[in-house]
Amino acid sequence: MNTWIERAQQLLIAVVLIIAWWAVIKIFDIPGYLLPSPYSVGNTLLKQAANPEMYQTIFSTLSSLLYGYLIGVSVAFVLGCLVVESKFAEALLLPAITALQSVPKIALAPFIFIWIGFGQPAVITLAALSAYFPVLVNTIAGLRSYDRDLEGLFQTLRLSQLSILMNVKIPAALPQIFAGLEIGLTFALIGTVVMEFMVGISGIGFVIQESANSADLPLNFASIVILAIIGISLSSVIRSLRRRVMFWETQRETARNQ
Amino acid sequence: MKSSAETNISPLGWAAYASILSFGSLGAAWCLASYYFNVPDFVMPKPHLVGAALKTGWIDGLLWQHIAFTVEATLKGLAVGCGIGLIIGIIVAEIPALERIVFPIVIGIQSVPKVAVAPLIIVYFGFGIESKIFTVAVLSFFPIFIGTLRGMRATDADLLDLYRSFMSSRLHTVLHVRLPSAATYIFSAMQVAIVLGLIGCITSEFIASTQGLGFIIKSRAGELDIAVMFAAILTLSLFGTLGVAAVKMLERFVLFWDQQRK
Repeated sequence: MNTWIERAQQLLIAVVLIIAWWAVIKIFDIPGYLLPSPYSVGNTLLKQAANPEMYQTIFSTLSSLLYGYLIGVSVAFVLGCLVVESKFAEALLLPAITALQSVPKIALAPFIFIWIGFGQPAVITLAALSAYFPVLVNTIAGLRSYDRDLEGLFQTLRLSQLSILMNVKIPAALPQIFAGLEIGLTFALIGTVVMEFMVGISGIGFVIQESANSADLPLNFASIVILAIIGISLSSVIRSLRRRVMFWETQRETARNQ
Repeated sequence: MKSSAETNISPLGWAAYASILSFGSLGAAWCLASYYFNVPDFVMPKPHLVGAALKTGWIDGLLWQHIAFTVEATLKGLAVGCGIGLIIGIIVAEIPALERIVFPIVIGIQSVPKVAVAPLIIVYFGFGIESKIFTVAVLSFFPIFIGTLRGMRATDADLLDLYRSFMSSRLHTVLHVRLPSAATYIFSAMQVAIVLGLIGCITSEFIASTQGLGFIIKSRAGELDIAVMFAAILTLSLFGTLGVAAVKMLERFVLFWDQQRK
């Protein structure tokens, strides 16, 4: 019940904001090329909804994002496990990982052009690089956070290193891994959009950049709304995945929220 | 099995050798590729070329103007974004009815890449430093705002009751109870804000600029002058690291009581 009231309040806020936006334009008589009206943005959104090219654009962005994200996340997860499980891998990889972490991944975009070329592979690469680091850092921190008191138990049960990893460490690391997955998604989205700004072939980022260049602000606003919808829906997918996988946390969380 | 418990106190010497080995072999591979296998400079610049680029950039001053531009834009943008984020965060947190509505919305749009407004900001503010400052401010606003809200929410309720029963004024309670307990959240949000702020500045410089390290990286890519690009990236990484380190030091200085607990 409570959540429905909250939903209604949020909806009300959104309506109030849109009316305020419209009122500002009317009162100060702001021309459409400076700030498009909610009506023209909505109209553009409706027009784009019937535009097959827009679906291609969205598909292109989604596919680069998801390929990059999946590659970055899987490499990060495997490397994270390696670093935690093997002292040798830790000593060999961790210094390099820490050194590379401080490089702003976005700044690598022009290098990626030179090494990989213009096109979707470049976008995928930057998305993967951007998603990679938060997931790696959180995986390592999470895998180290299991209950140390259990070690005696492991010894008694003569558990293998692999079964400790699979049955104890990874479940214990899940909250942090999922937090990393969400941060990684945000950064992968940033990487995808920035790379699309620069590649200038296809994708939502390209449409945002092009519409800004040609001062087509309704299209610009509408594309940002579409991008926002993509971001919000993907992160809610991750959150519901988290609820599925970590079913034991859900009850505790609802108890805390009330 | 013992390893996980002992990793943290593993003999430092051994780990140091291994990291020297890892960096050394990377360096050796780089030298071998550049000098022996003659990988073209536009794919991978030779080490001495990067050194020369760093020298002309840092010592002869080729990069100074661009470093100053990027640093100024990022710092000013961070000041604006963090300041406004903090103030609005406090105001919203102080009005429970507003907070209940705003908090889920802000959490919801967390995953929206705010960097998407960078081209729009350039339309409004032009190619100069103003558009960079504004982009940095927009990107750094959100983490600080969320951090402040989260932190002020996490205030110990018993402590608030105590202050209320002593008739402490609202301002006094905010300054002495809620902000100090939110401080850890705000400081970790500041680290995120620095990372995002640098991203915003570089992106805006990529899109349209005549100055800044992002501009250098992009324009030199057109000339395949990778050595200078390496130098610019190294500089950016250095500033990112310095910024985060500065926030950590500030946190240790401001939150001295937290250090004692640790």
